[in-house]
Amino acid sequence: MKKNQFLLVILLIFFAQISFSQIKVNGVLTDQSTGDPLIGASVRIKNTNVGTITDLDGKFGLNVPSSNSILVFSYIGYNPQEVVVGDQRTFNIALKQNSVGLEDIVVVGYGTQKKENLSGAVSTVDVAKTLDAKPITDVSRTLKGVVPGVTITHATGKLNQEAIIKLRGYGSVNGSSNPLILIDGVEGSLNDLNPEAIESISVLKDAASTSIYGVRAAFGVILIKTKGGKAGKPVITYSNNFSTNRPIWNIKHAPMEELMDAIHTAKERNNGAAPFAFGMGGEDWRKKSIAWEKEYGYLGSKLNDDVMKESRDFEVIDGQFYGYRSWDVFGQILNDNAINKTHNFSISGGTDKINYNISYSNNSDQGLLKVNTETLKQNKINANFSAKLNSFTTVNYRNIYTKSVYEEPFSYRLSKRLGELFYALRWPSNFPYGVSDGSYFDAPKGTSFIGPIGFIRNANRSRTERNYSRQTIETVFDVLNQDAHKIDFTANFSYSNADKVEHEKGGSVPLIDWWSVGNTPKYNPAYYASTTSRNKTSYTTYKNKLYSFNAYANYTNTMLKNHTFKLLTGTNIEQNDYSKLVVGKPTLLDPNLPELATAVGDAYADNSKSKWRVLGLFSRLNYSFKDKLLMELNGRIDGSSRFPKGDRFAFFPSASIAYRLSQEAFAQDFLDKIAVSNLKFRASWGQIGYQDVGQFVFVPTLSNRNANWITETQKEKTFRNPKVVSSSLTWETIETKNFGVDLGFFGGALDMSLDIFQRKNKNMLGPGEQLPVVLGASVPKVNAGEMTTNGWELAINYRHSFNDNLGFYATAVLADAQAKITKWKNESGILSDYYEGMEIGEIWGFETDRLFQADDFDSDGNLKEGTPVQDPNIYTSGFNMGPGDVKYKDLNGDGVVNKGDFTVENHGDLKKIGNTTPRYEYSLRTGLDYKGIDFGIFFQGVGKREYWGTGNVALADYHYDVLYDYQTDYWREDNTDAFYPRPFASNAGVYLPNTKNVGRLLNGGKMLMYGRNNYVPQSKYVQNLAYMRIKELSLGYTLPASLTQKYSVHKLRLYFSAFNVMEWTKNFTPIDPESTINYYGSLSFYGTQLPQTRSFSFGLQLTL
Amino acid sequence: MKKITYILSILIVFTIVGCEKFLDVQPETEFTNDNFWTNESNLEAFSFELYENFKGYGNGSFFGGDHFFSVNNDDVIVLDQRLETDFPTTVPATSSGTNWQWAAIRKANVLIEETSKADLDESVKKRYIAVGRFFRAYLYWDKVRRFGDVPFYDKPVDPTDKDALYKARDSRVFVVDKIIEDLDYAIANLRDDGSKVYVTKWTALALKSRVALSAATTFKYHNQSGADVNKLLNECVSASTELMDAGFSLSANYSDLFASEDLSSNPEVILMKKYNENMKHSILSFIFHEPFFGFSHSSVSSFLMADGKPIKYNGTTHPGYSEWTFSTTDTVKTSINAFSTNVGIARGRDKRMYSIIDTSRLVAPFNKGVPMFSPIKYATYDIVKNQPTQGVEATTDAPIFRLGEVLLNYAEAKAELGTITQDDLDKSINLLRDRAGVAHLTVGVGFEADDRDPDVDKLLWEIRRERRVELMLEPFRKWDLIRWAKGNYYDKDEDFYGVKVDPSVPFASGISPLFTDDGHIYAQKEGDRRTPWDDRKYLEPIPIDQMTLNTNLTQNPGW
Repeated sequence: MKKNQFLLVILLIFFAQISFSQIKVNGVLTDQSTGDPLIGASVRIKNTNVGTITDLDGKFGLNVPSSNSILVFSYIGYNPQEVVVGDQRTFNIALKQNSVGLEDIVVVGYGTQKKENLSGAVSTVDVAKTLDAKPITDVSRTLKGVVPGVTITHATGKLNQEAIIKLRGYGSVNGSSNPLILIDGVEGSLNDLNPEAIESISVLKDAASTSIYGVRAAFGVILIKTKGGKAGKPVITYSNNFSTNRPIWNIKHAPMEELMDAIHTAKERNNGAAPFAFGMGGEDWRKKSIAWEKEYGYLGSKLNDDVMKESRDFEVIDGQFYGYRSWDVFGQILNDNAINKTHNFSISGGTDKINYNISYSNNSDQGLLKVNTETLKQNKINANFSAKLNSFTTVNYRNIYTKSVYEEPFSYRLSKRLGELFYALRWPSNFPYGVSDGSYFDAPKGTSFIGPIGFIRNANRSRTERNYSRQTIETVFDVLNQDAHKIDFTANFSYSNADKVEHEKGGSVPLIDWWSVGNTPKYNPAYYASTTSRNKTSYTTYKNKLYSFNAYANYTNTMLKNHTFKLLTGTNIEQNDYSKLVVGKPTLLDPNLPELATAVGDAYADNSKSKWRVLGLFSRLNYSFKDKLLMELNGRIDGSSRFPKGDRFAFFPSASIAYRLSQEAFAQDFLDKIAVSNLKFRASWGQIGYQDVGQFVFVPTLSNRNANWITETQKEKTFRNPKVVSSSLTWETIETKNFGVDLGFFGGALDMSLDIFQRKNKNMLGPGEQLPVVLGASVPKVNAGEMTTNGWELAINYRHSFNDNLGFYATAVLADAQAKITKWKNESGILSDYYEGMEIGEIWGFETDRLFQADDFDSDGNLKEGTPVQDPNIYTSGFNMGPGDVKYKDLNGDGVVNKGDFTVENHGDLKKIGNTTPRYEYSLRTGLDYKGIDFGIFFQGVGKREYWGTGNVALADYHYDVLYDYQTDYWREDNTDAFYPRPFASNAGVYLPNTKNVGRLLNGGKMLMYGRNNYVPQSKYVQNLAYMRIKELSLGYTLPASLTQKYSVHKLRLYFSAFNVMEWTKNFTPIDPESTINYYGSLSFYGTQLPQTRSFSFGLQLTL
Repeated sequence: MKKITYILSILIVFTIVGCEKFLDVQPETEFTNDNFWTNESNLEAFSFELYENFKGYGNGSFFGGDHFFSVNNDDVIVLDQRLETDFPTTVPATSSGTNWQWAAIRKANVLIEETSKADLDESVKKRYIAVGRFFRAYLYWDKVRRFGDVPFYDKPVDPTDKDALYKARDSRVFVVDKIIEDLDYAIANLRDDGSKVYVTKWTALALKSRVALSAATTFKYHNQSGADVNKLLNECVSASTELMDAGFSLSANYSDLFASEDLSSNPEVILMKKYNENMKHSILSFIFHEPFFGFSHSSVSSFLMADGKPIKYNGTTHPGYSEWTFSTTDTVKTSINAFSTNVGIARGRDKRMYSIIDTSRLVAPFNKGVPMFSPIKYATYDIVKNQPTQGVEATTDAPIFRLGEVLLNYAEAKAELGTITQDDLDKSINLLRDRAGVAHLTVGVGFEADDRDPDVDKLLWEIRRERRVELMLEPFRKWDLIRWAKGNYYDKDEDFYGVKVDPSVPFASGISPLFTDDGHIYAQKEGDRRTPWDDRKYLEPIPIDQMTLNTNLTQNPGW
């Protein structure tokens, strides 16, 4: 039997086009309710592979072998009909739309599934509401908060800021743990897609759903399908969006009097002879600065130029510069009206044989800097073509092309890591931010008193051009299409090529040197800033090529009544080639010609290349019993080039099961009573390998560097010791258990879905047994750690139409996940490393008791007897404890406040004061439509999150030379009930833990705790990053069709939309709660990066 | 059916083999241990990382130099006890941040082992094994002088080799023998051209001269059992002699050794660390802007008068010596520069004093309010006059090994052997004195120095004085005091007497020195005082975690 079927298949493939029938039939297929012709509908002879599809007018013609033949008419979204040919020759068939709409078909791994038949944890995105008509060109920004369990963060508001996407919490302590993003089945970036080209997005969350994709799918899969064409006349759409963007920024310097008082108080405590700030100082400076602000207004509001006038705004006395003028520096740097423009065009259509969808978008965005701002210009084309060669062969061709050009001011002095606003936030408002004789002020090389504006304003513009293209060719064979047996076979090959060229253009900048140490005079108006390392030009080229081949076959068996089997089997082979090439030359002859050919220094060049390959064989079996009991088994054998011979292949199984109680007759009555129309229980278990542990971790490579040794002129290139590798390194295994309930009420108007999961990272790569350091090398990592993440997700949907005129919808989402280390080698239990029981993201610090007051001290100024002694290591030299300083709690009651051994066992008085993991992420999208008017609002927030921020923005008087308007409540003798402690000159420094682990701490998802004196990490000054915001607001009006159709316009909608409209936080620092980059250098600043933006936009959507 | 199974099996085998091959990806832009050891230039490149152990003026960063930075000794007053990083004060909990680090020794062993296995010309192999053994000797000597007994490894330790990982410490006598063996191999096989930027036969001889003397005196003054002190002293004498006859000669000008842009033609330099635009150091920045120490009373006093006599001898003050009193009316301008008048304290004395101590001004290091003499060695007065800005970076070359030290080693070894003659003095100490403009030292000395330590023989005292002065601020004094078992010199109270100041001299605000009864500035404030000497500091403690991991390790005495 089987043999016969196989032969049949072969025969069919070769001879299907040969017609051996005698009876000719024809007809028209229409929609039962509208009467519109159905284009591209299928007409087939039952139990054969013979068939055709309808043309543009819904017409078909077909030869049938006999009058006993049965014709099957079907169309996606419609109930099929079967008719015996008999004597009839013309068949005008009206098909009825079925209740399962398109949105209830969910794209899953290598196929689709009806939503009701899902047994794994899969979420879908309402594409129209999420992506349409938004002032956003990066899809990731609009997805934020939409999918339960998906956390998307953008650390800054820079135009080219890449999203960090995490699924179900923190993924792994090793490597990246991003979800796999598949665009039409092949890995890609959200950024490369024109939002308008997206047809559907589904998110596969549990291992049972993702394991079919193997090693790269360990932390979930985001499946994106792009729009294809439909048969019919060309549909042309055009939409645009014009937005104005402003920074979410609410920081101003404190009034001069307050600022000077704080500086003065801090200075008084510093018992040395330090000047107030940058050599300026003294009573005169203070008085003149305060007087200046009295005369010209707070932050110079009565002046509107940026010219520094000598004697009015500054003086030079004995060669020493004194600035008095106070500046609204953020007003000078940040742009309140950055304009972004987007245009989208698309055309789609086709015939019964060929269809197409081509979309093009163009956008140009301005950044938030007021001068010389960053710009981003993007052009994106998505084109999909599909050709039906014959009744069983379809060829698809898909193309993605993106070109983006990003320009930004070259960073002469402002390290990108420090943030564009670092130096703007570093100085008091009477720092010379202005211009004199056409140049900005700055202190020369080797000093840190850097003016923030001149370097940005005068900089050359560095340029990054990225070209991405991807071609996919796919063939689908409907090998067999009988009623009980269906086989289709799909093979596709895809080639992606991403080229990125960064052209850095340095040079030198004319500035006024107002503070040269050691030189007399210190004020030196003619100064060119041009350091050797910055006076250069360089090209960095990145090339990334991805070859991907997929082939798979689906077999569906519905032969037995009540039992449906589906079998999928296939292979996936991928190769990725990466290369990087840097060439550069120092010393430009002319900064206006920043090219290699016009620079005169010694050229330098370097490159690197890497490659990885994966190979997988996968299989999936679905079984359903009466659509009531659903089961799925998955298996994948995966091979990865990242592992040594012998450990390369592994098998990863998964399974899921679902039970639809609502399909049971015995439950119907009860469920009807409580209006439950759908009730499904789901459970799944699965394992996936995780390979992203770094390239060549198992190969004893010798990395190279430049030695600090010169024999001729350059530092000699040298090689490090060959890496000591473990002989038994292998995969990490990610095991997920998921339990879910789907519940629908009122025939589906209200539905909700709850998932509870546990994810275990088994065999997590971590430190091996600690070995004596006489080894002379780091101990090779072994598969010894384990991390467990527990979480849950809840989604609720409600839809209702009142008399067809008024529609209402609401979607609410709430999710939580927290990872915990459950196995880790850390014998000493030191808190700066992972330890068993550690919750990822935890912050350790003291509990703040209160501020010391005068009566805590005796007449000699010493703390009264019985007060716990605070560890002297907390304090920097010169700090003399007094009233107004922070009193930490002696939690363990040993009479001393300290960190103990900084271990789990003995952490002194430290406790967990917070956690940086975003918890209880939620959103609510709701809206109305009424007679063409639509209104939508999207709230999004995080329920709980803490952060230890350092620097002047986070903590008043962190350094003594600046104070902001929200920080004036610090301790003074006349303000003893203050929020902030008494100022001290500098609180930077590490008390815990030691700095050696900074890099790893950051990468490992742990926080470095920073700050000394009154600002040791502590409960009172921890940033509370919980927030709720109105993420989006939209109001649209669709003109009545009766009006527009006169002008052949199918649809015309005008809209207004706003993004990041407003937010509620309880934080004491007015920094956007989503901006969390903290720089861990000696100065360590929180909030110095460009902030997120608020956008207000309008536009139109037109369909012809 | 059987056929089909057969064909299928073959297919499967081919598929799996093919897959294995497909997945076999090797690094393209990195060497691996399998393809690295194939040519001489790779070996040379590999060895450059070892050269970084010659810290010189620092490895291109602010800190981390050997010269100038390792100054925690009786030559200077460090004004903040927290800067006393040279000596651990407690037993460290973990090895991180301590000197119990073994990566560099592993590196030397890898070079030796992989070179011996490599398929290369025998002479090339010998040369690079010699480089490896030279550095192994250099690094092991550093371990021995810090920790005493240490486990000796002559090949890279395998992470699975329990015996090696958990072995006990080897006796330092044994390790010193191994060091001498390594050095003898290096002397025989290293290049012997005139290069001053690669380790050569001459570098190895200089290191042998240093190590043999240091080990011998350490063993002698710390009563090491089982050590053959005289044998080591003779090794020092022979190595030094070979070098002294090798064509090196003293630099005509002492300052040139430390403040020259290019040392490559200096006849005294055996090995140097080259600095240029591509690698700068920051020694000058410390001299001009952030000096963190001043000279101690005893170091300033140790410079001889030009006639070869100390400032105080036979119970009287040298008639040519002028006291350190200031009565200038110069206003004190900033906290940094307190005075700007040449006080003439160096007049009529050893010329090196001008090159080492800036006697033209007083400096209050680190705003501590205590004006003291600050260093000029590593700079010149010309450079000082045009004070560069903060954060100054310089490109002067650093001497790593120089003939001057070898001469001092030779004289000291001979004196310790008790076989020193006037001829020995004339070809060593007296060459240095000629350059310094100081009269010759004679075997009989000819005076009774008031500052002599009564435990030390008259001649040996003058040889040690010569060593102190000649090598001042170079990385030697601390180690000399340790090997001579003279840690007690750290606590001499009079060392903290600074300059004598006329009470009418105005001080800038913030400068408020303490005075001794007779009007000297007292240079160290209570609370800033250096922790008193403790004999356990002769050896550094073994970190606790290492002793827990390896119970065969024993702790050094007193810790």
